[in-house]
Amino acid sequence: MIPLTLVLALAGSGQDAPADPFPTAPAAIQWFTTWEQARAEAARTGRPILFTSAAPQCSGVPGIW
Amino acid sequence: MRLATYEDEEEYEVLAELFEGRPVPNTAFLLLEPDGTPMTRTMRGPAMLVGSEGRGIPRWSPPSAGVDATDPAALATILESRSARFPSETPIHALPTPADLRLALNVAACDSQPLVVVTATDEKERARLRAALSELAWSEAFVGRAQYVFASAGDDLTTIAGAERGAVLVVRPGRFGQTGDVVAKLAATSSPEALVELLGEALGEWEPIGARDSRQHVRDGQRDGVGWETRVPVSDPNVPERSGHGRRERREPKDS
Repeated sequence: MIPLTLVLALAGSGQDAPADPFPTAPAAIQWFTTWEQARAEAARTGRPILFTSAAPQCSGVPGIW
Repeated sequence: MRLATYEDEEEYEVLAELFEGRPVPNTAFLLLEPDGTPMTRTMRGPAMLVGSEGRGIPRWSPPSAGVDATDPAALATILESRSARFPSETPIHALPTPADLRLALNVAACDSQPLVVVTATDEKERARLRAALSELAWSEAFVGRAQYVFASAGDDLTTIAGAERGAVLVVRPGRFGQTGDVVAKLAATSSPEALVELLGEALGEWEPIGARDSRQHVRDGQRDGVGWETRVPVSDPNVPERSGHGRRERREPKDS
């Protein structure tokens, strides 16, 4: 699994990165999307949580954060 | 984790508690220990993840002055140092899945990513697919490139052109996340190897959804009558009241 830190670092760098096998579908963060799931997995793995929340609509229009 | 604000009552209550009586805004950022104990104060922006000049994070030494929380490399460095207290070699393997198809389609559209939809109805089949997709989702080749949801009997599949029950679908979300198109599919009985091939081909042929201007997106959506009803009324004090976005009552701040 690609560590979060590596994903974030690669997102900001363009140097010495391996060729992307899917250049039109670039990797982002694989987010846990529910509180229960994330808590359970964090407890099971002993990993801390980067917690964010955002609204999947802007002025009542969906499809954009 | 990334929750969808105002889309779940229980999660809204979690946010309300984290904001300690302050109005729950559209966005929230904080760090939590593995048991859910907050490591930082909850704020609507990411600044408190790294602290800011002159302000430290409770229980942590103040970060370097001038660290920009919006810089990925800087944030990665800070997160690495924060997580060093909790070394873990245990791999993550739970498959992240949102509550329902409606929300999943919207979120995939927001992120411009393919959505893998499992429409199998047999419970054993669903469990088998969950295990197979979990392995695939966290693999180096595919991590962070797609999103996943298990459709339930109550989900409306008619919003996705080409959808069928008893299958694994790769869906391209529509612009506003209220419709989608199947770009690839397999029977729910397919092997894990076939699933890898399915997603690999779909990603290889994925047509990027270009960068969007949020103001134009909102204007076009409003012009076309596209709307989204949140499950919980919006409570962000910066968001003007409008139809479908009734305000929650303000909570009294907790006594300190």
